[in-house]
Amino acid sequence: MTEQPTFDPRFDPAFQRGYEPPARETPPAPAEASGPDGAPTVSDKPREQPRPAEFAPAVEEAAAEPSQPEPSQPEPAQPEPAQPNHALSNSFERTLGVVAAALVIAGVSAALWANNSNYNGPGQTWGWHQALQSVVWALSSPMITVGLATGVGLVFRRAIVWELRE
Amino acid sequence: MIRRNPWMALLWVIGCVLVLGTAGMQTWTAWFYFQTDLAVVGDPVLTTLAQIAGALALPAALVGIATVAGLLFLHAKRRARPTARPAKQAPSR
Repeated sequence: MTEQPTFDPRFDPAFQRGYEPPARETPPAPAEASGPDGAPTVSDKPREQPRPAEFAPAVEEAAAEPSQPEPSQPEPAQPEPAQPNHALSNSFERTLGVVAAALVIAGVSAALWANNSNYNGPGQTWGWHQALQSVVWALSSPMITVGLATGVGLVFRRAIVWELRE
Repeated sequence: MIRRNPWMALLWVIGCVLVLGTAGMQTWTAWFYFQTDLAVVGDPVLTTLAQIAGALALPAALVGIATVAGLLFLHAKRRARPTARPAKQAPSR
């Protein structure tokens, strides 16, 4: 008794080592298949080989897809390499957009608060209010800068992705 | 022929608006503070706008100039790409 080869169930057995198609599935081409002068006819096209039963649903689904105009064409031997994801928008990009807007708004608000509290604050006495005002005033400009830069960086990313797509 | 990148056109608009807007905002803010007597409580809306303009001026100028510089880098990379990239070869089997 010969040992049956084991196939990786994730892939088509037709493309794995040890696969032998059944004899009834590869009948010899009739001599009259070719047209005059040896020109190939429709019957000379390679036929799709039937697959084992466990792959039958996948074949039916593939044949049912409207994006395949010629189901009689054989499938490519090698799967197409995965294309890099050049999606214009993703969750991180949306988060960055929110962060950019928040930084700009918070920076402008901080600058306004610090500026107003400078005139309307408790005066020259040193305290937590003065310290907080100094910190907020110092942080406002970098916050606005980083927020604007983040927004512009997102547009740069889109420009680069557009370049890669073209 | 290289197609026009709409996002780069948008970046040019953003960069020019940031730089020229900063110049305009600073000019208006300087004029406002020059004309306004700070001892007198003026129009609160205009005062707030002047403060916002003062807060935005430096960051906007910085990011605007950086945007234009980045665009120049992008244009240089784009122009150099057709000759710098090696020709595609058929996969060998």
